This record gives sequence, structure tokens and C-alpha cells, in this order.
Amino acid sequence: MSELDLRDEVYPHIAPEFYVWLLYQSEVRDESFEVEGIGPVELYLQDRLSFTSTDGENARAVITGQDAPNSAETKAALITGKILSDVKVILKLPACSYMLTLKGDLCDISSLKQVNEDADAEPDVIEEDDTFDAFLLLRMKEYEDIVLILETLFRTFAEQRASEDWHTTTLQEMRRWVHDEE
Amino acid sequence: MKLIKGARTMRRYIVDGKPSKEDSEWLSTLQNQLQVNAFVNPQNYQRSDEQIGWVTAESILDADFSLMEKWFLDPYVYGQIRIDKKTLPSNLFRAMFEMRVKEWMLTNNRDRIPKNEKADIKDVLQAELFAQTLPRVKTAEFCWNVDQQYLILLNISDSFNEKFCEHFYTTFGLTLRPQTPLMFLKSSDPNIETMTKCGVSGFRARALPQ
Repeated sequence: MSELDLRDEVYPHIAPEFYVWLLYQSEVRDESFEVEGIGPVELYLQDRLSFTSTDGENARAVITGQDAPNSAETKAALITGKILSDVKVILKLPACSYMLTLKGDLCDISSLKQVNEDADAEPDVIEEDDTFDAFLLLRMKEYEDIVLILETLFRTFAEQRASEDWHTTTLQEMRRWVHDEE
Repeated sequence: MKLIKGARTMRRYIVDGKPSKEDSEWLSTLQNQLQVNAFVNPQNYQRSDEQIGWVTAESILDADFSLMEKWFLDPYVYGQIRIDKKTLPSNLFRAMFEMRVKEWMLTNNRDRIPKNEKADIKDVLQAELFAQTLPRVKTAEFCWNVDQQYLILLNISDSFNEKFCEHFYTTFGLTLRPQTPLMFLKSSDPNIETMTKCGVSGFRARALPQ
């Protein structure tokens, strides 16, 4: 690993920018992402978003509620320049769905769990006769799938964000949504 | 056990280096490294030092790594870090200390207490109270994929993570680098440099007319 690897640095603008893009994907684009080895993955932001202030006072605002991602409060926070610091996300895979929160500058994964949207579906729970080894391998496979999905999402985001079209297309669409001008 | 049950909260690290599997002793070496740096319950705490070490994923009371199946499932090395610290309630300590100083002056019929006597009283009182106090115990599970050179720690507190990284380095001689979002991109990705400079998009302005 080169000592000058730019990826080692934590750039405080990158995670918030990624979280806003996830919000845009969830609320405006509503597309699925093709993830190699997994298939189409749908992304939804959920009922909790945390914003921090940029004025150095470390003020934090948490917007909750069923329609939090599309709420007037969320849009107002973006318009006033607040930084999105945590987002709660549902990743819907072909076989199951996961809920997790992405937190802070490192995109730490918090409260990762499998969720069943189908009320009749059998929950994936540990049975008495299941071995620890089997469950560890299963949980790590799930985790590696989640990382692969996040990697695909981030790569797609980086391609768009670094593109010259960002300011004339994606950002304009996002601003239209934020200002309710769709 | 959070690694396999319930909601998981974690930070991911890149492990700089890996044990050489060509060396037939590599697992024994890891086992020895874990055991040497395992958690040791001190006989008695005399000070407020932290006690730090590895315990198995199964129990925070189990620091025996002699059975490989308790900590290795190819390609994963897993377990817990345990950090104990005893602290004394400062207001109670101060009150008891002042009372003992007064008792000494009364017993010895003196108006003042010499410095060395005062220090002795403090040492004895600290030892007595530490002996009666249970430590505050913090633990977190980890899972290290030796082949893919990444590790997850099921804790996202910065100070705790720092202690974990130090103890990991002391144990295995390997540095842990926190995974940054840019590490989702390959080192050859042409967008990295632009991403480092792009800044945060503003939404105060309205969209350009279509």
C-alpha cells in the first residue's frame, strides 16, 4: 500500500454527500442497483435521519417519522446547509431485506439486521440445534453481501459525483426535489 | 453473542499484512499470540490502571485459547476484547481520607499531619477501597478475515476502537486502518482525486430552469 494513498484520509464531506445521494436515490430516482453475485437491490431510506450543523456548534437535529426522508423538515435542513450525518436504510435483496444505519464520516454500519417485509415469512433465528460455526459463516456472508452492496452504491455515487454532468443534471434534479419543484 | 445474534453495530478495518499460511506453524503462532495477550484477572488492583486482554467469543470469563475451535473458523479469527477499569467514587474517597487524617491528628495529639503520614493514609485507603470495588467491564466482539485482510469490531466508540487497535498491534504486530468510504473504490479508480476535492453540494439555490 502506497504511503500516499488518498483513500486513507477521512474527508468530512464525502460521507454526508454520499448520504444525500442515497436520499435522492430513495426519494427521487427509485431505481434498483444491479449488484454482482446478488442481483437487483432496491434502496429505501427509513424513518430516521440525523443532521449536524456546519457552524461548528455541533448542533444535531434528528428527523423521525414514517415520511421523514420526504418531509418538509428534511428539505428545510438541506436548504439551510445542514449536513446529513446518519441515515437509516433498507436494502431489499431478491431473497431478503436488511435494515441498517450508516453513521458518521466512516460510514460505520449500525444496527444491522435482517427484516422480513412478508409477515408470513419464517424469521431467520438461531435454533438450538444450529451450530455456532454455521451461524458465524452465515452472518459473515450476510455482512460481506452488505459491504458488496455498499461498495456498488458508493462506486455509482462516485462516478456521478466526479462527472462533469453532476452540476448540470444530478444536482439540478436534487435541488428540484428539495425545493418541491418536480 | 452479537457476532451471530441480534442487530450488529460495527467498524471495519483493513489489516495491513496477514500470517503466512505457507508456514505450517502459523495457527500455533496466532494461538500463542492470543494466549500471551489474553485477559488476566489481576490478584488485586492497587491503582486505577486499565486491564486489557483477549477473551473468547463464548464468555468474557474465558481467556483460554488452547482449543482452536473456540477462536478460529477458517478464514475467521474471532473473539472479544475485554477492558476492565476500577475507579473510586471521588467524593466518598475524599470524605474518608479527611476523616482518617482527623483521626490520626486526634490519636497523635497533633494539630498538623506530616506529609509522609498523609501519603501513607492515602495509599492504604486506596488499596482498601480498590479491594472492595468491582471494575467497570467493557467488551466488544471482533471477527478477522485473515485471507481478505479485513476485521470488524462490534463497537464504534472512537476511544474504545483506539485501545483495540493498540492491543491488536501489540498482539499480532499488524496495523489496523479504519475503512474510509473512499476505500470502497479500487486504488486505481480515476475518480478518487476528484472526490477528495468535491466538497458538499449546496441546496440553498433553486434548480436551473429546465
